[in-house]
Amino acid sequence: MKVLLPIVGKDDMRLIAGFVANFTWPPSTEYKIIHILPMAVTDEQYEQNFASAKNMLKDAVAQLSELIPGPQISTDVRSGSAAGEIMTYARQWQCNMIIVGHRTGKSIKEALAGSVSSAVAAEAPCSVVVIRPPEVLSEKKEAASEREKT
Amino acid sequence: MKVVVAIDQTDNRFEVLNAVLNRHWPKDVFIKILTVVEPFEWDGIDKIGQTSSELLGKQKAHAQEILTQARALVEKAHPTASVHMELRVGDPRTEVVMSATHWDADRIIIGAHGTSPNRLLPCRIGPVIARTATCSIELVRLKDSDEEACQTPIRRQKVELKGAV
Repeated sequence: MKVLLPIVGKDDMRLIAGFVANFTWPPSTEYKIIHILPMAVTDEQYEQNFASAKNMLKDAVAQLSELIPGPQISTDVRSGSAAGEIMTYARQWQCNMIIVGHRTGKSIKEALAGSVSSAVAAEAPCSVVVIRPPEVLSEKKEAASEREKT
Repeated sequence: MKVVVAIDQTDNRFEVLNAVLNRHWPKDVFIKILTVVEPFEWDGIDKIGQTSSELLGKQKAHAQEILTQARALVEKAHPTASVHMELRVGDPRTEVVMSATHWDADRIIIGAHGTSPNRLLPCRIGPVIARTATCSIELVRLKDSDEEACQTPIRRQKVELKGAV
């Protein structure tokens, strides 16, 4: 089984690792943690982003290895549109599942980040798990109860 | 852990159930199998010799049968799990989310048809629920979706040609 774990920030890995650790996966499961870099304006900027992405992925591997003993974990860095790159990667790698964190907030940047999981959920070629952080869950629950009242 | 497994009344439900059956769940897991019956609203329904309430009754009886069958399968595969079932009437996009919210579910598992550029009217219940759900969601990609998507434009093309002649 092949599981793709796209991460945007450090918090994503905490969420995803928590989910992965709660389940017993087949012994031959392969995990691929990927990070999509935004398009950089200059080479220098790209190199900086690439270096920080590599560090983030290194931490992510360490975090996942602590929770699940002996998994096959590899990493990759891509650049471009997050949703598009995730789906292209999923097709190329022929994964069975994508586990993605749902990020949303009041700022435009955060709202756009939330749209990545929505796009992946709608268009991915395989099964998708969208994990919501606790703070988003409480907001959503309030909104749902208000909708129900109206 | 509380999991809502949302299934429809088509054969696609077996793929969603397989995803649940083949997974290792914690011993104290609560699984609720949910199906939503969409009422068939059409003014001319009386002309075919059935009232809408009669038709809804039949739909509900069929859905109940499906739920019982699904529950038996899950209970057999996961004897330690506590398996519940629920039948709702309405729009699946809102009913699934409401059911999960009321039950305080940790996750929803639902089937999703793939979408492709040549499919003009995709069934987007899964992705809509993924946006509005109050918990984490797992979309089980249905295997036959790509084949169906490929067939759709061919059928549409034939109809258009017929009309033009």
